[in-house]
Amino acid sequence: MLEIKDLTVKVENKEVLNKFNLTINDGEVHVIMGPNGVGKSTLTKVIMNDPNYEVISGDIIYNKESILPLTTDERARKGIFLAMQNPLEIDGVTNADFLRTAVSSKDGKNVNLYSFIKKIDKAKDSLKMPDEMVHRSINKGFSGGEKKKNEILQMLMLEPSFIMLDEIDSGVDVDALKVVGDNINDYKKEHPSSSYLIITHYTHLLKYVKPDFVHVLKEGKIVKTGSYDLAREIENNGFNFEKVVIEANDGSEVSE
Amino acid sequence: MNRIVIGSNSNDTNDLIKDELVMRIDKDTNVLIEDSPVKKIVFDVEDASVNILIIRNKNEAVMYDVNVNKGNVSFNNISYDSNNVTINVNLNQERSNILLNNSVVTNKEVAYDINVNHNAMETNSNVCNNGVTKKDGTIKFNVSSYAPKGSKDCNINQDSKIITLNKTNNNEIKPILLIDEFETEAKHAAFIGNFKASELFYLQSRGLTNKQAKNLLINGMLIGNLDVCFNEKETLKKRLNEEWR
Repeated sequence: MLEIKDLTVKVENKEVLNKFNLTINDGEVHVIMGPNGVGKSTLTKVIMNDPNYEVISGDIIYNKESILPLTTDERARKGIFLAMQNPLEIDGVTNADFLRTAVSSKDGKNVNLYSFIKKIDKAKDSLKMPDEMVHRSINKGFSGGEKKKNEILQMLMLEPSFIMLDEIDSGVDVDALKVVGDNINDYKKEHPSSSYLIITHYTHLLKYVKPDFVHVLKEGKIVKTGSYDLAREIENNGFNFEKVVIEANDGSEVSE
Repeated sequence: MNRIVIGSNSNDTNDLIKDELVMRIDKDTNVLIEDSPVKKIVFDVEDASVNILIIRNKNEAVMYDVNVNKGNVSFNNISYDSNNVTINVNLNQERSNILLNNSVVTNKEVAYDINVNHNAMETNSNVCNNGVTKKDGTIKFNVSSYAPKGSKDCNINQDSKIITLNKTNNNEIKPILLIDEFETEAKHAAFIGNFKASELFYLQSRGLTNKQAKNLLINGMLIGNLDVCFNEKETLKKRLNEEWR
């Protein structure tokens, strides 16, 4: 379970999250939507301890332990995973070398090469990724869709328990999106206690991965929470919030 | 594919050849030169694809002349704490190409002077220098590419990067492009500094410690970018891990 309590965050002296609160129980799928620049990606970066963001007050509690004192890698080894909006290209470091080191680091012992190859082959086939991508430099020369699939490949290999997907659906064609969605669903079935925080602008991914809660973020705070219907309302009407409130009054919960 | 090995576990060749070695290569060939004391090595390539790997550990200053008369040369040099290196490349005929990967780890001052002469049209050069300085190390990459009038349709690229793991250094990159021909393309990039915070964050967000992330980046920069086979890279990585700490 992840609890964010009264979290206030600054970046370059600008407040981007303001007394933000959110609780994600094991097995739940939460979606955050909102216009550009309201702090959606900031939230995921802060949970992952990006050094560019400064926590002013509040706390982030994961499985009853504050993770604020932990470094990025310690948080990752606790089972927190962030699939990034713009995955970096790292020249010279192959996916295979990177993932072998990451899996060894997570398990606290050198990974058995045979089991590693078996696992990565299975994950790669399931994501319909070509063989050679495993031996190429991380994301180097990958298309937008391939980069996003590579993020999911890392998720399948590292088996995290709390997964943040930051615009995993952007730059992905319809076929690739289905593959990504199916893989997330399969992972969810295999790991029923895993929980998800999905940042998105559209309902494309949500057609495959059904959310339990949809939140609207504005000015660093959640201003509205609802179900999948709220995401559809937003897709139809945009973030014209007053209009959304009126039209969503019939089913969705409205929060201040 | 021919294979030439010099110096690797063989004192015989090292004893025989001291000052200058000239190799005339007219067939596709792999060349491995390891810890050789030879002061000057000349490669004359005639219409062939040649892959050269030079491994230097605490060696004296050396000069390499690479003369390409049509063909593709992949020149890979990795140096640990060695002395100055001069590399002169002459691309003498059309469709002469060189990929020059130069990886350096040092805790002393070292200079790399690299000169690439595009003496014919339709010639390509790609020079990639990667260095890491530690303790008292300083690296100077001086790279000059020259395209005289008439050397049309050439592609010239220089990429140089130095990662500084020491506080005091006088690292320098001098990328010089002397282009006297309008219909040719030349570019360069240079970087001196520490690891990018975004790269470290990305790797650490997958559970790698800061040290593991830096090791991986150094391996990738110095070995991953070399144009050599997988097994050779694995051997070089093991050696690098022993040498650079």
